[in-house]
Amino acid sequence: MTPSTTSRNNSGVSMWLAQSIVRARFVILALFVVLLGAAAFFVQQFRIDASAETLLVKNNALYIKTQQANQRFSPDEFILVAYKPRNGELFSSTTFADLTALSEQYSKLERVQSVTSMLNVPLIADASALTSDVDVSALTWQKQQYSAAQMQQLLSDHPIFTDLLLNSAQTAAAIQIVFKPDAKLTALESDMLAIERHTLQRELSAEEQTALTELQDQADPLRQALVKQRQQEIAQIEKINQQVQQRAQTFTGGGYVVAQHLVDIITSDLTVFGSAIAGIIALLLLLLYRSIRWVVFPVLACAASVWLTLGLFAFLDIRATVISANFIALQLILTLAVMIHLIGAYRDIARNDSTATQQQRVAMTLQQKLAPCFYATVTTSVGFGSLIFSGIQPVVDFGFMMLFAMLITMSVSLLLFPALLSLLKSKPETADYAILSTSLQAIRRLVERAPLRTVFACLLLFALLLPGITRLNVENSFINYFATDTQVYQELKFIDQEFGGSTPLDIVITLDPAKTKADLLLSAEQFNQLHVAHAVVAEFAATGNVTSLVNFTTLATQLNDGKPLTEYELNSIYQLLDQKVVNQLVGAYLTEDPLQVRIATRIQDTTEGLNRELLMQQLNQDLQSVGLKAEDYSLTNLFVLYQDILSRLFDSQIMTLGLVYLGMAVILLLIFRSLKIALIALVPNVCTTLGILGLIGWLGIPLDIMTITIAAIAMGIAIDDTIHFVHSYFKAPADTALKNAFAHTGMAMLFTSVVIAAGFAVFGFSSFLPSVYFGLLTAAAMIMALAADLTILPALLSRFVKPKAA
Amino acid sequence: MKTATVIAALFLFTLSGCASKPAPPDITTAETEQQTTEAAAESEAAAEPITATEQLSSGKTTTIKTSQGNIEIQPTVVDMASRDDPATPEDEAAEQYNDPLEGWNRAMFGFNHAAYSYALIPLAKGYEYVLPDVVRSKIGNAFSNIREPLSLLNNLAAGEVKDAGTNLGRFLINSTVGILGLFDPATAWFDMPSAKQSLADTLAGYNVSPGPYLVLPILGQNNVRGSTSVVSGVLLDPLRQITSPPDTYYLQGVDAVDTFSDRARVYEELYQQADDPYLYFRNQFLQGVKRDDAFNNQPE
Repeated sequence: MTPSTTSRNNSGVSMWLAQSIVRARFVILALFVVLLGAAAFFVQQFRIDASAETLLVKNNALYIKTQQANQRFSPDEFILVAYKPRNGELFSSTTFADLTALSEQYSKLERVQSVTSMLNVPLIADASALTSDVDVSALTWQKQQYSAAQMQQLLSDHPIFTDLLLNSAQTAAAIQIVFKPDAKLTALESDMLAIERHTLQRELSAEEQTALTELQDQADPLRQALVKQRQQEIAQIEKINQQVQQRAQTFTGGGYVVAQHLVDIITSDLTVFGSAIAGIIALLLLLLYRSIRWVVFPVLACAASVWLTLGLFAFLDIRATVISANFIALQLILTLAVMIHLIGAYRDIARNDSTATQQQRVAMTLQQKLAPCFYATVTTSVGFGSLIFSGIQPVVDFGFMMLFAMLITMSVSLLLFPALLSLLKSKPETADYAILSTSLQAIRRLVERAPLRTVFACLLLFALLLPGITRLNVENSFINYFATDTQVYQELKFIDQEFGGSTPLDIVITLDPAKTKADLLLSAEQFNQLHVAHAVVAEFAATGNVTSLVNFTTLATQLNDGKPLTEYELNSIYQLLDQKVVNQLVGAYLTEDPLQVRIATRIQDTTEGLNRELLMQQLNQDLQSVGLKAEDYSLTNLFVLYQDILSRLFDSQIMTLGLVYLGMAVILLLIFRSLKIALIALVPNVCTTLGILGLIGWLGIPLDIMTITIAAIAMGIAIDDTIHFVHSYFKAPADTALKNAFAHTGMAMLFTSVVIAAGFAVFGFSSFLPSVYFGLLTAAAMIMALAADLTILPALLSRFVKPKAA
Repeated sequence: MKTATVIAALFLFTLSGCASKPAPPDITTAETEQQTTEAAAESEAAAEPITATEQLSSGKTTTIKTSQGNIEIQPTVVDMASRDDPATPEDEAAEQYNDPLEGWNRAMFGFNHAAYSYALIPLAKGYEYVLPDVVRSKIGNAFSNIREPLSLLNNLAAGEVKDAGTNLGRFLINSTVGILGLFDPATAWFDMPSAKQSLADTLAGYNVSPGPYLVLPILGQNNVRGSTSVVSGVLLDPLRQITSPPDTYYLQGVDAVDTFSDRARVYEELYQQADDPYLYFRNQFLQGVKRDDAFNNQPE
């Protein structure tokens, strides 16, 4: 079958469809009004979930192990507030008074369990306090009113509190606000974990699946409430901090503070950039078409598709995450891209045949553009759809969301928009800018005259970008998500550098049971297994605060004039301490049955030249070289989970891109029914995607879960232009084919590319760096795709394919 | 006074036996025969080098090689077992815990436990109940002050002239300004922390080995070296110089109860948590002595 016969077949179907749509315009309008009304009902329930959890791949062994470790050791949830006196005197009565006042106010917050600062921790001056009957908890500043000088002496190089309650430079103190866990939620989570842990060995049964879903449904509202409460707490804490602003700088950080800042930024990005893009689109439309109706109707249609999508997501309880929060902007841009092609065709028809009625014009437009627009949205969906196979949960979710969004975009632009359009009065259309059409024709002439040279010139340019691909690297950290000039970044960086790091990493060691001694909790050899591992962990430049039982024994040794404890003394101290104190102090670092110890550290994300993959590798290697077998210990917690994602990024980049190429080839083959044409249509798009990856490499931008989506998405969008161009190339006889394609589609391609690129470029103003990269790079990809579609594509077409007369 | 001299002489005699061996403190009579086999087994030991973990446990500073460079680690928890000997586990225990008098010791330990449970602990609890915390701490201060001259003698004997000076200064200040030692202005105002030195410390300083484990009636566990110190401490107690019996005995009794009251809870709790309390207290004591011997003589 030749291209011309298919297009004739297609045009038969297209004509019938086009006329049906125009005839059913009132039904379509009524239907959409109902749907929009229904969406309005749900839209309020739409949620953003930007917790760190949403960035993780769940249901894998690492995640479940981390959950299990958290359950066994149940570390506290806390926020750190750093207090840095402006006059530099940390040990002064002003500081003590401020810390006291702040602590007192924090402790009044509802969920706060305890507030710890250097003022209420026991500071022990000699070891006898540990072995005799002295009440250790009374040895605090609060009870003893130590002098400033004594405090300084007691706290200098303290093995436990340095980097936690004061920095080693002694310029700032931190207050640790510990929150109560929600007992109900903890119980639900442990029930869920009890089911989920089976996935380590086998698939879950149907009953387990149901039970799990039921538990999740119960836990969800609690989690939602918790997120909201945390948000309020942070606001309250920051308000309390205001009181000391004259005397000191304060910095708030720790665990979910980052996540909360992310939610704030994303929520504001969603609305700010959503409306900014809408505004820019409106402006561009006005500029390009110089007519109010071509601003109002496209914007209305865009708004309708976003509204419907929001409603649908709320109805299905799909939540926007850090990665997918851009979907509103994306959908606006994509819906518009389809409509610009429709508008272009409509204006063309209106100018050529000014006598036709509005309905006829719309029908003719649809007849011409229904097929390419349909295919274009399908290819875009394939681009997003490929993300489903990325293997990275947040990216997979994003892929699904955009698939739904594209379905809505397709129905809005191909059903609602023409229905609306057919209600308008037919008016004469303004001419397109002459300068644009003449320059397009100039390009055409160049391509026609020297097709091969054009191809080679363009390919050479892309070839320059390609080596950048070898420079691609993967790095990812929460802190680096924020632009360096933001307050959030500054606060997080201070905590990161001065108070022991950000991203938690745990090393859980199962101690050799053969070395157990009767009557002893830990034998010296078991303890020293831990000690050596602790030393290994602490030696890395990027590990901030490192905490384990070793900190306690180091303190004891220090107090004991440098004499170590014997294993029996260690056990005696453990037995003699109050059970409550034990749980508080060492519960998070030691569990019995099986005897496991935990080393907790936080990785300093702002460490210069930090290579996380190398860090993990060396850490494993070092732990094994000091005598731990791989099965004796496990690395858990957020750092490992993020690292796991990073290690998949390359694979999933290759996977998604490969799938996109394959999917596109199949679709192009279906559309054009010719392998040659399909391959030719692929060339400019493959060039664009590889080019953009090369550009990312050259710019030294790390691949992260956001940037890996760029290539696939760019391809999905860019190929639309290719399809439109090839489609109109075959509409005209051979001698005028190129001229026709440039004249009819060139302008629409130019418009869509400019509008899309401008829309994405707006993200450059975000303070969330992944969004910035995503926006600017996708914009760059659009421009590259346009260039390729206007040079390589026509050159290859005119050299290798001659359309038969239509 | 005469009996005291006899007993002291007896202990000194036993001690001289301990002191005659210049061997390292953790190798005692029982192990001397093994020394011959030691060399033969050394090649075996070399085949499996002592790990960092084991070195730390033996109380030695160790260095480990990592990707980030060499790290020196100071021990913080030790069992003080000597891992140089290629001994079987049983021998190891025998070598680590020098307890040839176990039969006597166990019997004495049982007797002491009964005495503690039915006499001393109730007494101590009553004492604690009657006297408030602050008063007890002052009484404790006073008894420590009285023992200051004893430390002075021991420091002099050990050649620690500076510490002896501290003892003298503390005794003078606390006895006067501190109202018979009830308060401790020497530490609080004159920055002269106590420099306690017992006869055992002095003997250890002269490389006198601790000798076998020995449980004394009522006075509790010790080794021969330490027992000498304790007994001589009782006999040479400055209280005896400033009071005469029966007041001396009353005061010594109060001193004992005062010292014990701090430890009553400790003793009870540790006794209860152990499967074999005798071994628990013995091992804790012996490891502590070895650790002190190894670390007290170390240059800071």
